[in-house]
Amino acid sequence: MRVLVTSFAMDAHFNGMVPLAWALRTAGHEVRVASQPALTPSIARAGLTAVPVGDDHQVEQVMTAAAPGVFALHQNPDYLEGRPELLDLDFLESSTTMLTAMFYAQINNDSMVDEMVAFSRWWRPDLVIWEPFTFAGAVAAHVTGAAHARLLWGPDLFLQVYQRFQRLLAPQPPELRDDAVRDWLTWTLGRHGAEFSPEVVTGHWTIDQMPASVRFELDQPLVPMRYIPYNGPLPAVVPSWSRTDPDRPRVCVTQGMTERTTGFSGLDAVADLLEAIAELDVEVIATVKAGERIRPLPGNVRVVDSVPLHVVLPSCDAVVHHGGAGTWAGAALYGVPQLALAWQWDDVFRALRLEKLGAGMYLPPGPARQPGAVRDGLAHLLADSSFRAGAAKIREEMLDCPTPNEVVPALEDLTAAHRGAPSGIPAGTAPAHR
Amino acid sequence: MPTTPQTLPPTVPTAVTPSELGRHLLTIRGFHFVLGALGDPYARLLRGEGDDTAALGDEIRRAGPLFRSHLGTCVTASGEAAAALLRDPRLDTGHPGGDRAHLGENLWETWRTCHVTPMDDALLTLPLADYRRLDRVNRPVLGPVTAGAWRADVRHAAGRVADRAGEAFDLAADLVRPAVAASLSRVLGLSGPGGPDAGGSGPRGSGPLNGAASGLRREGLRREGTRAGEGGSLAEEPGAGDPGPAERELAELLPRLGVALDAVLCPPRLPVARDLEEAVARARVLVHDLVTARAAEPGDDAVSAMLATGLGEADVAAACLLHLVAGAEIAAATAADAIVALLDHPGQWAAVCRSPELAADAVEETLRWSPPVRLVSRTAQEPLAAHGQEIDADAHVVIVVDAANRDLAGVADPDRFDLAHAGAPSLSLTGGGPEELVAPLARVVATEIVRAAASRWPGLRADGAVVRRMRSPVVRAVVRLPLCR
Repeated sequence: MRVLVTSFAMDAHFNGMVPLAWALRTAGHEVRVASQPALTPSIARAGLTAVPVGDDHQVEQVMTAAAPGVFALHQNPDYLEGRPELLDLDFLESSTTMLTAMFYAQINNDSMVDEMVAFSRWWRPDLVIWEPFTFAGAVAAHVTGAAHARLLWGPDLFLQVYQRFQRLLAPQPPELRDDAVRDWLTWTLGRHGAEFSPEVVTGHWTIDQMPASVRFELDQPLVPMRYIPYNGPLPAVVPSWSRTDPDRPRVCVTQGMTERTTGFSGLDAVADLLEAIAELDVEVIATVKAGERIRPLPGNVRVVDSVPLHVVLPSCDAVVHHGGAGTWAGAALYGVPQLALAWQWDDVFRALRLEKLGAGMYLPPGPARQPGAVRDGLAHLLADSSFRAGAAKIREEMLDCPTPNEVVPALEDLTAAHRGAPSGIPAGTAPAHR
Repeated sequence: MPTTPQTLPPTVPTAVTPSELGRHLLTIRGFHFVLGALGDPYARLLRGEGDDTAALGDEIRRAGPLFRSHLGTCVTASGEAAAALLRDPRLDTGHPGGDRAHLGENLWETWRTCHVTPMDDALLTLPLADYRRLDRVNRPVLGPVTAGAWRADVRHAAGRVADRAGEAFDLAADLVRPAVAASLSRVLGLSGPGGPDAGGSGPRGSGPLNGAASGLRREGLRREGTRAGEGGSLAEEPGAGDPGPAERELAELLPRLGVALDAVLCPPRLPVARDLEEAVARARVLVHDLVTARAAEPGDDAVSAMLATGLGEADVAAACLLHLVAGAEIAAATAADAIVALLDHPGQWAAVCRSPELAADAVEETLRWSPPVRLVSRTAQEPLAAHGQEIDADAHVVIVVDAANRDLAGVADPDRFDLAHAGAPSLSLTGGGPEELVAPLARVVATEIVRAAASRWPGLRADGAVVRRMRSPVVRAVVRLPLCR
């Protein structure tokens, strides 16, 4: 089959798609990866075939202006901690409006959507696999009649909250239903001669890389898949220091790559944090960007610019991180107890699940996150072997999931079942987008 | 798309695609929610729902006579400042130089949220001098002194609608909206003298609404009987018949047009914005046909009377369009809010039922307490210092009329709805914009609808909650209230 994989141009959102793209490729399928031009180098370094579409999105500039309000709304603990049943219509309408205006419609800019549709009309993919915010993929699939699925990088908070929104909207009179994401997708599809359909928000099915105990049972076809670490376009090289076992417990401290590049960070005062942690009898591997090496650090702290997580995590006894999807999933896969300093979006939910499952601890923003408190938390995590056992259970769950290679036949069957006739106006007669 | 009627200023083409319009409206809606989440009370007001508007007005007023919203707008909820700004000749509807179209701008650079949806075709954002000119044709016929001459017609039209109501009916759908349509249809002569809407046994004919551009039947244009004055005879009228096609089309068209007053400041959903565009285009054709027909053969209606001023068909058509776009919505909102407020205060409802002439006081108190135009939008034409603050040239200024009314000197207990406030100062429907032009007729229509209800149904009660239109921060239009009589 022809499979179009797409993520808006942001490494962290694309990285989780690379192993499945390769699995499809090695199963003999044609695979293309469409995104804005800014992602082309990352796609190419992953060894995949890039289709640059449209102009680059401007979401960082937009979010710089809009972030304070967007974050203020979404610090609602019922949202962060996964209690959608407590969210009211006002919150859901506000969240949907803000995220559509400031995020979804920004990362799926019109020129990117339109070129992806044009490419799909020409290339005629059988299946489109889209990152769950990259609705352009769903639009292109819907217009051309391709089957399409979302590939999740984390627990499906988006759909869980959206389903709650739909349940609250349903009893409203039609003229009072204010669903910005639906409105935006309606006119976006309309530009290509197609009508809105709910699968454009949800996909025909969902491919979920979370372990079973962190996954939501939502009323949607689900294909579980094992998470395979791929940390992005940085060279994956095994450093010499990592080729022997440490003589003390090894702790990895990382803030991931996204928070290093976007300026939105929950990990402050990294040097203070490292000094405090180094008071323990541990070896610390810290990945921080060069500019943060502000002063000499204790001898048991090794600062590296980057290191592939799948190389270093198997030798670690604990990991301290910002809560991001890739770091969380990598640590979970290798059964490493986690100390999550999460503060936003799905990061908080995943961190809380760790606590519930006895596989780690969540330190909320505030006094619990002072360097001394982090050190004490880490000491507890290392001393109590139950965390290792809890983490091992999550690892088992992940290993129970089929690998990307094993998932491919299911995707072939689902594609055959869902592929349909194009619903958009055939190529050549679509109204040109001015 | 209908051709541009020559009697009206030419339509302003919008050089954007639906997607571009959608994105423009979505972005501004996003601004309102983002700044609303940070607590900006003006942004929260513009969201149009989910907040206590009176509390937001208080919050704006507490911030000083001129509150500077993060949207860049200078907002006043102070009575004194509002009164001064509404009179200030240095404020107008457009930017200096007249610009009032921001579609296609990069909003992330301009942050201009002052003319959200283009309203030039609806004539809602003309320079204030134009409304003064239009008032020369309006004032002798539908002005503050003269509008009362149509009261008997309106009373009959509203009464006919009220008589059709069943035991249980909806305030908006079954009373207020059709009564406004019936009233305007009759006063403006849209149904056409002698036409099917004018009554059961009259000679058959076709008014502009029925004939549209296809031409008018000319027989029977003169209606029997005379202009009914205040309290005049209602002879010759058909009784509680069903509305004719003209009135039915108007009843369907007017609520669609009513969105315009909100859409100036609050982005509608894209389908609503596009429907509004179509409704305005349709209204322009109706008005054109009406004015052309009455110019050829005058009837016993306000349009014919305005034409008789000799001031030109174009201004008559423009004034007429404003009665449809702004006047109808203002009348409907005022009547609906008056009835809602009275039913919430059963003693006052009983008083109006005993003395239906109190309907006029109820309407005036509603205009003060719950105005149909809550936000008036202006732009500074030159730098000005007002109330201790500098307002830059080109700055956006918004007057929060409901909050300002509750801050005017000389009203005891201003936050309370009270018929005893009759005669209290109010800034509603002032300021020289379209709302002031259409206000006298809207007052008559609203009063007669309240009167029709109160004189018939002393036992009227709400049988559910009030539903207001979404994204309606200016009008807060009532779309639904089930009633039992």
